[in-house]
Amino acid sequence: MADNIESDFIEPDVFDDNTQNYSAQNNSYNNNNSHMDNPAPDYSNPFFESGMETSQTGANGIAADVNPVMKRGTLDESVVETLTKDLFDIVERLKLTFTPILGLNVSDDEINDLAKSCDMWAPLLFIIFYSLCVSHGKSIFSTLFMFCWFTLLLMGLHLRLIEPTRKISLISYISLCGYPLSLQVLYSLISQLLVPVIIKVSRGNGAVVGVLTVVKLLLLAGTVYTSVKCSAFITRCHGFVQLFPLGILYLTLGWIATVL
Amino acid sequence: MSEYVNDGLDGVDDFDIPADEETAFGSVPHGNMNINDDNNETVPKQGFNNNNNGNTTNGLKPGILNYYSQYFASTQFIERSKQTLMNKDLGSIEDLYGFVWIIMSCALMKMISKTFYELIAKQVFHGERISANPSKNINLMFHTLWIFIIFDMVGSLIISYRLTAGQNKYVSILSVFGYGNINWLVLFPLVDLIRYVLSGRMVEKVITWVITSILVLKITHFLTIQQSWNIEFPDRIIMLVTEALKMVAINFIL
Repeated sequence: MADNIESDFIEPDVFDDNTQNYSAQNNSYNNNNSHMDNPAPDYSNPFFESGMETSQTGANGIAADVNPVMKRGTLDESVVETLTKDLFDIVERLKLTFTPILGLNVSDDEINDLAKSCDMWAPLLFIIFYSLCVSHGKSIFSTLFMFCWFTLLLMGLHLRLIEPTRKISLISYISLCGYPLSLQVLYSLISQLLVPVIIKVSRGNGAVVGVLTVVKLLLLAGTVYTSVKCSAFITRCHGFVQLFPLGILYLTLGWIATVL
Repeated sequence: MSEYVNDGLDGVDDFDIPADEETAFGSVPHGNMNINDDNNETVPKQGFNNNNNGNTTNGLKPGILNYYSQYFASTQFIERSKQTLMNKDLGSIEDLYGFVWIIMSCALMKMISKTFYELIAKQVFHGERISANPSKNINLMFHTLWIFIIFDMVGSLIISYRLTAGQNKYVSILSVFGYGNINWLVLFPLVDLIRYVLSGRMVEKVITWVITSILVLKITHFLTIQQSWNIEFPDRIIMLVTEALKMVAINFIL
């Protein structure tokens, strides 16, 4: 019994003479301890030192178990390469997030994977961009930065408390709610950078200011609506009680970007 | 394995997972790590029912986040909000969802209504740019939050101490106090419109104080008609004083 449990969770590294690689051994492999006599590591394998699992073929020719989420070994790649991979991951997740407005065909599994492979890089980037746009790089940046995280925390807590049986952690909810913040970033860019430029070009024409203010308010309404819709899609929320707090918090962020 | 020992961590292992929701998201995510559910046999058979002892909910303790989910499983938020506006008895409720999100709505409403009229009047109709300070808006929101939270929590605590000796009804009383705030949510846009239109005049202050005083009486009446409490005259005075102090703080600070 104990051996079975151990073989489920501990995958001994086996040195493969044929492939000159270390590979994870799956349960069907006839286990013996002779591999411990060949401890020479393969430093050419970028996944070796990081301890990550990889999709290599085992000594018996059977592919080792591969965890699609933990596929990243980044020690031997350049920083640019790692950043590029992260950015592509964020873009892919953004596409999934905006499925309701892009009209893509997305399976349930892909949405499930989105919750599994959550990250905090995207929310961090969006919050930094949002805070920069709204604060114009002044001292209020730190206030906005903390306020945005507090807002995301509230969203996560709300979703966690309202659906406690759902198998998503608080940190995943924070990550998922952070992706629709990209719309707030876009809105703050328009509201804080594009609109002032247009007003300056028009030399403060009253009609232009009035029209742009109305456009800003309409954009704010659209941004909040779309953010809530996308959040509802990726977190699988429905109904007024579940979505109302998300709407309040996205509207708060949008309004702060409006009134400067 | 008949007894499940809670590990004290906030997580999905605190509840029995219904069959229709089990496959919603197949595993517990932790950042980029994927922790598969190979140990699902350890999931305890627990639910969300309150066992009315005020300390635990079927084994869950107040230190665990899931313990508080029982107070946020609100399905009658809209109905209770309507009943509050019509001064009806809410019954014995334990609904912190209403308390939290009505106060958040009040804070947002205050922040919006404070600048909305100026934005519409000056920028849309007169074409003049206004420059509002975002930090001022955030401060206004935080001031609204602490005023409502402090006064409601302290007021509920005093009432709870007086009314329910030996029984823990603090959450129930706090829930009703929270729903009472929905009256302020309706009033804030009106008060800010009056303040904007009659800005700087004596009549503005008089009208504002009269309207908010009437609202305080309405909220106090709503609190006193709750039949699940055995309210006596001193309790009504405490409720009135709590709401009146809240009104003074709102009128002076916000």
